[in-house]
Amino acid sequence: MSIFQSALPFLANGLSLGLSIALVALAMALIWRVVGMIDFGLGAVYLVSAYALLGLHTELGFSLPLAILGALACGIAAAILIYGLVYRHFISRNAPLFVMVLVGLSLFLAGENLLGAALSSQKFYVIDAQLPGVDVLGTRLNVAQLGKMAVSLAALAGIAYFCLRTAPGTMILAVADNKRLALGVGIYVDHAYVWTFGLAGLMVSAAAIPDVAESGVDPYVALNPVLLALAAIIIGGLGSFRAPVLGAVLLGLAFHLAVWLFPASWQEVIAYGLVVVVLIARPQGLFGALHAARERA
Amino acid sequence: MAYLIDVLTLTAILAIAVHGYMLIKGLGGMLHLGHAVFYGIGAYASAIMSTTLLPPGYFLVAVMAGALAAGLGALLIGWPALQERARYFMIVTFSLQLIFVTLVINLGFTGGPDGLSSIPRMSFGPWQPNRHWSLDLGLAAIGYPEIKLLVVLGFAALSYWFCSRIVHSPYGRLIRAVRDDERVAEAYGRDAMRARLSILLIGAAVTGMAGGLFAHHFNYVGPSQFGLDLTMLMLAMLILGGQYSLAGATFGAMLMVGLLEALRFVLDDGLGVPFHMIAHLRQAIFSIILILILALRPRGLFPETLARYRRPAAMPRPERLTRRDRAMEPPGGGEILKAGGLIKHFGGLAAVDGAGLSLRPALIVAIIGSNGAGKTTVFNLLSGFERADAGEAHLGAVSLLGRRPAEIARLGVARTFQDVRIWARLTVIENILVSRRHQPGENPARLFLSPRRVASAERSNLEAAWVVLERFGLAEKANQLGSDVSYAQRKMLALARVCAFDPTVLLLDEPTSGVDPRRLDVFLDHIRAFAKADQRAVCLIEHNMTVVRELADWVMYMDGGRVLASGTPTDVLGDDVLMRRYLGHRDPVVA
Repeated sequence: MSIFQSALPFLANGLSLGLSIALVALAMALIWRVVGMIDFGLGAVYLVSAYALLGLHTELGFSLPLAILGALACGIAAAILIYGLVYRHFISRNAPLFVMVLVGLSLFLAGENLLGAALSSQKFYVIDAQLPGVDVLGTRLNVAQLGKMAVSLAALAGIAYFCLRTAPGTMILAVADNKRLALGVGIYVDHAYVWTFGLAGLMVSAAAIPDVAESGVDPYVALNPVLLALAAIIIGGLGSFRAPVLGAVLLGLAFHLAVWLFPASWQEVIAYGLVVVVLIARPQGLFGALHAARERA
Repeated sequence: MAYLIDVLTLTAILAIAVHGYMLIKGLGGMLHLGHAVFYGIGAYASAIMSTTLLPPGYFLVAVMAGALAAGLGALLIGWPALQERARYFMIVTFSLQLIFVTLVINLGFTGGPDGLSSIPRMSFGPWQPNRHWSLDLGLAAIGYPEIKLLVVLGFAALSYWFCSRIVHSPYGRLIRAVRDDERVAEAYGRDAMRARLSILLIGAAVTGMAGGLFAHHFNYVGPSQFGLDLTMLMLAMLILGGQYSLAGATFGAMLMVGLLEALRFVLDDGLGVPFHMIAHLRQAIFSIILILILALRPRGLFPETLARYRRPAAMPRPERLTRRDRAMEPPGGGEILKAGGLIKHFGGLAAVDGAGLSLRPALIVAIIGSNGAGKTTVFNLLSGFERADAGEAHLGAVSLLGRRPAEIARLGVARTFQDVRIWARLTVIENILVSRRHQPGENPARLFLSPRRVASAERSNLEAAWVVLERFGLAEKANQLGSDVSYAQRKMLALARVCAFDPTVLLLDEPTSGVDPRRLDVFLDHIRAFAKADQRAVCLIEHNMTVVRELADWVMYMDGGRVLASGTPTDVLGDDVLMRRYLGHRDPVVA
């Protein structure tokens, strides 16, 4: 077997992971550019849609497509609620970035632990049967993995279309570009924020649902996607929509190729080590300059 | 009772770690999200020392090794992470926090996922207690846990004293100035990066010491003990108590542990919640408490304590400062600063395009010109805040270009800023105190090694500061925060501060802009005194032609990054063509 062939499964898995992270990364990048905060609360949103899928499908007996729609709706609602009930208070008082980061992290940890207390740390599976799959270039990809890639690509295209072609999308971009000016020309910034968080909720749910369908759900399932998404925007940069997506794909590949080259237990060290190296060598990210709408640091 | 002693011991250890956090986050203002890493490094280093390297009885050495290792870790993290990029510090420390646990699991000498067990108890030389050791005092017997608590309390008291000495010293004042505005600290000759790195190192070492105590208290260290949860818990303690106050950090730790223990009691004994849920619920509830504190009382329970200075009863007469500490004496009457051919491009735009100037002691040079003419950029080049693309600038025989702002300031070139930039969270008198040079108390080692020298230098520093405040009419406001005084007073404070620095050359960027015309004379008198009484070389950027006429001995007119004309005020301001170009088609306004 050639080196290429032995690396192939890792490449495929890396790409699949990368595209999935790309959705969360894009949600995080959008919130950073519009609202000016690093939102770890997206982890809580991820958990809400993951457990919503589980609950709707296995407990309430909804069909899978219906449960997926329900989980998407729950994710969007959770993101908007978190903004309305928690973040709005801090944003209106011009809380510094550090405080916003702490609030988001605390929400995430609270969500994780409340679920851990209520439902135990046990892993539940949404789909019990083994997933069907296809062989691609000598490596087997299951439906969830393929679906994940397709969903990610479709969602990324959809987001780009939404932001560039629709009125609320343009409003979000205007606020991201210059909040004061947007206020001045009569854009209601609060509305733009609600749209932003809703959109971010949708993206995170779109990442969570195929993930959960593939590998089940436990309270810690959101940790890696959210932290890797943060790493992806650091590696990719925030210059454009493309940058965090490229960063995520690169990170996904690095994450899985690391397993090919090193023992699996070093995976996280390598991923976050890459973050530290990028921060020190090229803090604006690999694919663009840091251009925050409103940097709170 | 045994449980209570155990909880108290852990509280005291955590309080020490939070003291370290207070130094880094509260005093130093660094957005630090990896505190458990320093605690963990200290715990592991100390545990390894005690289990493998040291014979029994060297508990104190092992704890100090923990402090040293954490300090070293801070140096390794801080050196790259604080270079010009302190803004990414939060993400770097957060990433390191995420790496730490995995790293520890993967390394051999840390015991991998199992951690290190059988760490010996605290022992001092020949006193090496076993589990059943006890000392009969007649009425009661003291066992090992009580002794351990006493030792840890001793360490906590020591840590409080040590950190308090740091916070309330000239060094602590400098760190607060850097926290407020590091660029200005550099303009006053201080190395901001070194200041940041030093406080990070000290804070980490204090935390590492706590880690060492923890290892010997718990007799086991493992990777899961030093995760993000612990960092968040310490942050919650710090923020609850008040991140700018040492007392706050201490009470925050006590209060938080009390709260969590009460919660455990209510959940376990009161409500009968199953055991496996309690840990999760405690975590969830303290996360929610943190959000509530941040929402309701973001500054915590204890505010920052600011030293209040008493005005001396017999004030020395507000005369001009003596000039003994001058870094460089101006050559008699000749040029002290000469610059020429300065060029600076921003992208395609030439902000400065061949400008130059020459400054002499006791002479006031005014630079005039419309916005965007390159005046402030010339100041930035001369003071090292921007790097020139070409040109030369000399102070006496010393070349200025290519040097860092702090170096240039130490050579004797001081500047003020157009947007005032006083240290807003220092009091007025502290603004002056920080600005003065040659303070032995700014070196943290000297605080402890030669405290008398530090105290006597601080006394004379304080005396001189009161003289400056009197001279600039700010003595009444001495103990008010910089952010609490009026705009004109802040402008005046900027002048007072630069005077306290006692420079050879003064670059004043629009020193009177926005000042009430009725108070203008006072400002003019002070600026005139800088040159005529103190014999300094003064260069000012000014838009007010009255000020230029009143003050300047020499006027330079800049446009498009070049000096288009220079001469006496009468020559330049009297040149109708120039003035039309500068002011549009109006006649020069002499208000």
